[in-house]
Amino acid sequence: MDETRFEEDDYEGAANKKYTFFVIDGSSAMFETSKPGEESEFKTALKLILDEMVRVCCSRSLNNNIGVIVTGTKNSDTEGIENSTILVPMGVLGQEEVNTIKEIIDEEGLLSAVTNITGGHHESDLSNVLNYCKRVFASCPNTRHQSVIYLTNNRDPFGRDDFWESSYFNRTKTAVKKIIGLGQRKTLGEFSVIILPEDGYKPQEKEEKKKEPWYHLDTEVFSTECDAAARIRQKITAQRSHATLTVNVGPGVTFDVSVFSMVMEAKPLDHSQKYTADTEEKIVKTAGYVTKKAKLEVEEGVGGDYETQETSASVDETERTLQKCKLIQEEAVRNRRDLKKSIVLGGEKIILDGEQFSFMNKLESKGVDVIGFVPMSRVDREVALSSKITQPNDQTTLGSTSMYRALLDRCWARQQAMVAKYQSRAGQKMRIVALVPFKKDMTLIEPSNLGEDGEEMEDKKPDLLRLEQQRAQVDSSEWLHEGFMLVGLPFREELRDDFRRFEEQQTALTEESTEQEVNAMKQFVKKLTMSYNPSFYENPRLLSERSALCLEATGEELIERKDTVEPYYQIPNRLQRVGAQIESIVETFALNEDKKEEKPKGASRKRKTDDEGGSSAKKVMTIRECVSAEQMSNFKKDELVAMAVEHCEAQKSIKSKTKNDIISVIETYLNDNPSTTWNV
Amino acid sequence: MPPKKPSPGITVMLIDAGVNMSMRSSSNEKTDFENAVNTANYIISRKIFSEDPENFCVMAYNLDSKLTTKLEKETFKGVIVHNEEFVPAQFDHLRFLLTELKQNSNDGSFSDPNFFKGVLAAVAVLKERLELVSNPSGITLIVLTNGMNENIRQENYDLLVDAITECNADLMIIGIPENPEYPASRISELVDQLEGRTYSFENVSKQLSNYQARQKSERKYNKMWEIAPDVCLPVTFAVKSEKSTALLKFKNADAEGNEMVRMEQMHVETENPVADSVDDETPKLAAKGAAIYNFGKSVIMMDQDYIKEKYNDHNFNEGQTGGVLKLIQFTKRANILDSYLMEASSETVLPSLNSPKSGATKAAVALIRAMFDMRVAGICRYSFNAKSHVQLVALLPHRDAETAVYYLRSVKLPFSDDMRTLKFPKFTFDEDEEDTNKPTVAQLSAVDDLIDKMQLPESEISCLIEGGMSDPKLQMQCHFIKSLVLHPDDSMENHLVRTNEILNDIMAPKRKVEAECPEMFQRLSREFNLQPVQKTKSGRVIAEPEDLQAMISEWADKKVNTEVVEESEEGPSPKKKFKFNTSGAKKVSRKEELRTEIEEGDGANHICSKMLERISNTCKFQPNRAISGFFQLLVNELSIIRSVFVEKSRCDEFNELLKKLREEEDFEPFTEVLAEEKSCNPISSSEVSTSEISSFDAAEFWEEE
Repeated sequence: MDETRFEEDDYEGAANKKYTFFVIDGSSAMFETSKPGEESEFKTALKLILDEMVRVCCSRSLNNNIGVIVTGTKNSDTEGIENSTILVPMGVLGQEEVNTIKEIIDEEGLLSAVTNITGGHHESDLSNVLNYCKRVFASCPNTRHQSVIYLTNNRDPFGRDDFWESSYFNRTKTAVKKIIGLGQRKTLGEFSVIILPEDGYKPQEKEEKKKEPWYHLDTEVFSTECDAAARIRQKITAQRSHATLTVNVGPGVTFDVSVFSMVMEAKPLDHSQKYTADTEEKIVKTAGYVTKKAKLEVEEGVGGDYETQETSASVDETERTLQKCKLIQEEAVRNRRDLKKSIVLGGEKIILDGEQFSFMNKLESKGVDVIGFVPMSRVDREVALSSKITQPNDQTTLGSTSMYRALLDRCWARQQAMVAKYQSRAGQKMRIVALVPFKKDMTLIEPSNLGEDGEEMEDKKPDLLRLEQQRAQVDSSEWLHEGFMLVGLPFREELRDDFRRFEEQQTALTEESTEQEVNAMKQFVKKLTMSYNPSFYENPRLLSERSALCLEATGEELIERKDTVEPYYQIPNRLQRVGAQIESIVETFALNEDKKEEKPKGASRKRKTDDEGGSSAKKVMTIRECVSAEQMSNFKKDELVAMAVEHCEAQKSIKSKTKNDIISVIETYLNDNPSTTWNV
Repeated sequence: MPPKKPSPGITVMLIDAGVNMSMRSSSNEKTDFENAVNTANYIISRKIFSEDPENFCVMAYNLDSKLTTKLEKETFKGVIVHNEEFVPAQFDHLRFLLTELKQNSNDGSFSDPNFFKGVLAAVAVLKERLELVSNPSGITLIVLTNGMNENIRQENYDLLVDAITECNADLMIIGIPENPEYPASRISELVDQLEGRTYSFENVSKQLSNYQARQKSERKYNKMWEIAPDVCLPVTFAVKSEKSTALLKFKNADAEGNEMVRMEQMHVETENPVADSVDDETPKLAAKGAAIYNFGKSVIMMDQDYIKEKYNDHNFNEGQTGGVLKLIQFTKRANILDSYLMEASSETVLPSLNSPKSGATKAAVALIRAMFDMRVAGICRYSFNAKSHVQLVALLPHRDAETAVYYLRSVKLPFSDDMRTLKFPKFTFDEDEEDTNKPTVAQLSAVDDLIDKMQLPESEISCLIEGGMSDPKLQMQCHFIKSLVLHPDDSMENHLVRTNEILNDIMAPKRKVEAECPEMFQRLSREFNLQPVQKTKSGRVIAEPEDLQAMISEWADKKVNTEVVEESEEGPSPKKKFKFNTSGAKKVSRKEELRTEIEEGDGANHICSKMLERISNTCKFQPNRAISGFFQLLVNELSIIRSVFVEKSRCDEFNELLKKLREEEDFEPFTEVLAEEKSCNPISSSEVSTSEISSFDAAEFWEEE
């Protein structure tokens, strides 16, 4: 608590607002379905927007303002915007706004539902809508980020091949420019076009792109780096920098960078505010600092009067709480800053007042001060403290980008990292950091000087590794950014030496693994080696919280609650994939020796062995016996799911529940239906 | 009987305070006595801050023979003992060393066999102590001397060997240079015979000059790595790295130093919480409540019991004792990008050694080996105990270069929610794309030169990169506290001297390059032409807050004066004294004031130019909190002026003023505030018909540039 944190939340105060308009093309083509059974693009657009709205609502911040507009409508109810209808006015979202969109999506006949609101289709002018958006942005305070996202399926809205000659195109382009601004002040402006369907043709050649009118308004319109949902997210949640710092290379050579966090733990939803369940009165917390002695006295009863306490525990409970309140209200120091700090050292108790304490920790050397260069390979990234990325900042020092890029190019080519002293702001912890370069093009890396220490490259390994690194880039382009990563290096107090442990291993494990043993494992590893990207795994806790919140707010589980970090063997086809390898491991390492007797040998698959082995003991049991013997938890979760679905009329979605939940579903069903039973 | 658990070690530190210690045998400019005291100071200070339990006794010998110490039956001349009680290192020891202990200036005692006596006294003290404690974990005798004492006669030499051997002490002599001369060489012989160690002052000072943190316990815990149903491999986790938390453990305390702890009580909000207990009315206790969640701006109330029951408090832990480690997938190590690693903490994971011959252990060894050979990492579901929320960890294979042991390192992986979406301008351009910031060949070559010249030497790499450096914060804290205890009357600044020293040490490699190759930095500076963007023109006034306050009042006075002058010049008008304040009634009066002023001849222009002057003056200050408050006042003033202008159907002067503000760089600090507020746009044609500015342009006035 006393430590200043190296990691700091981005400033999310009220002065940091983001405004986004979703503009949906309301032309009739949006309501047509190209293939029977598929949803119309208008619906797809609404769903994309709804997902994002829900996500924004379930975040902790109230800084995201969102509005939704449909163009090309007969109605034009809002002043300053012709033939377009506002579905959701710009503002902080809530239940009502989300449900507005959700109800339209849920409607059987989407077209008629939309017509009801819009009055039918009518041509409209996109530039007019954009100018309206711009005016709304201009009237909002504390704008940091303004973005218009246009969703359409029309790749040729300006109706002619030489669109650049059309006044409609030029009008629109002017309006877009106004929204983007030119790095004006602190506001970041963006205009993005999302062309539906997502899997439509996307030109990759520049010449081809240039033929597309949208490309002239949004150069990323054909980007394949991420899908539409991710693009929308990028537009809405683009992060602001954590700090802008000066990098001091040497006398007269300083440039500026902004520092961004690339990863930061998403915190659970805030629910610190509480009300009484019955009367809905607000519950508050009174807190303060009291002497440890006083606290113990109150909490454990005065003077160790244990006997009387036990006899009238309930009375004492209230009594004690009362005392507690009184103590806090009358004696406690409310503000931590009013406290002193004490420490016992060298046989003396040292008491520091607040001023001395902060003076003691005062260290002001804000910025990045380069100490020197080291080979990148020397930086152990796995024990590093945090990963941030830096970007050049020309706004405060002209020429920063050139300097940054020259350093990046040369450091990357030579695989060198910069080592620097780093402090993000006065009072923050000072650290030694490595600025590690990253560029996507691995071919730019120069072969290291082989002659220098006479060391040859090890076989072909590094090449293989490089190939794998290159492949990894493709899978995770969303999370890869070129530039210098800022890596906090550990101090001596933060590292432990493993040497003794390794020695211990050496002495205890004298036999090396045989080739056969390693091969058995390799086969297993090989079968389960898959690509990986952080987007694969959502935080089940947050997902569950959001799902629950969404269900309460909208009446529907718009976010599916599931355990996303289940081991592979809960997924039947994955388990099946390695069945033979598991068996081979069990055999090679004689892992079933002690269990041999109860298990039939030579079962074709481990999974089966397991089931049969288990059932031989339980064969005669019925489900009811299992329940009464409290053996339900012995079942695997997917077995329970199968039982619940097969026998208890449960939905398949039950598998998103926890094991204990499923057990209780089965038990409840058995209670309600006394005749039902089955053998297990 | 099994051997008793060892008690803390005991150490006697014996300092030579004789005249011989006035020599300056070290390369630094200090006398040997000063060096000896410094070294002892280092040793004890380190022990104090690392809270080493080792028990100490500090002694000195070779003092004036009038000073005597009686130990058991013997009396030792010229020997003093600070405190015969052995205690863990204390500030008291330091006080003795630094203030009480004085070097012997009396040359006459040199003929006495001082070293012999000193060591015998130390051994006597040790022996006495050994009678009281059993099985200490170490017995050490440290003698700080340059060895220029008496010639130790053979019989005394033998006696010393016997005495030291008898009490089983490790002998350590600090202060004897390498290849010592006679008679110091005699002491070296003694040390060699007793298998002790000798050090020069120089080589200990390098090792001892840093404070050390308290030894952290080595946290280890076992897990069963479930790689398949019923296939569990025993592994042991041990902390490899973690973010250092408070290195010195301070506690909250009241003025007397009693520990203060936080206490909380939940209760139903009442209007007057203090009155409750007085009235003997029980504060309404909240047993279990409903939590408030925000869905955007909507407030959703959810019963906590319901969340517990239906969602298990959103916890997916299956409740296994000791937590879980379950395999989710393998992936190429290259797929775990560095940017995913979010936490300081990492663990070393090794096969457990409880039954090294078992199949499961062998399987663990083989699996790690297989992962290493295939450059594959394991991704696992992880929970620390039966209650903690589940996490995602990656097990990354490694091979220790020294012992060739294969091991895994466990790091926490982010969930998708933890990844930040970022978007930056690109640095790589296609050939046909415009690339305005492309570095030139000359720039790249200048950078190459920089990389070559600033290569860090190996010693620096191990210090800076590989965790060789102690946290400067710990060094600062230790130094400050030590200084505070020993010199309580010193100024705060004096306690902090070390901070700059630490920073200088860190930057030393660069300073060296800066001194050696100034032309390289000149070249870089030339090539890149880096120019800090000045927010205001160079003639910026730097004012301290106090100055600012003075200036503000001075300025307000001046303002009042000019108003008065104007009053007399412009004839009698019902003006009130101008005050730079916009609250309530005064706002109205200011309005009236302006109304009158604007009516006068060139009044509108006058108002605007005065305002511009005022803003210009304020913009000269360095931005700080006082200034931003002041800007706010100016914004308010500007709004009032605006409203008066609208009222009087004037607009040009005001709009002109705003344009000036927007255009000139000097006013940027203020215009930033204005642009942020958006309350003060130009007067548009919808407000005053003569205005040339449309309402649309007015709304966007602060947007475009």
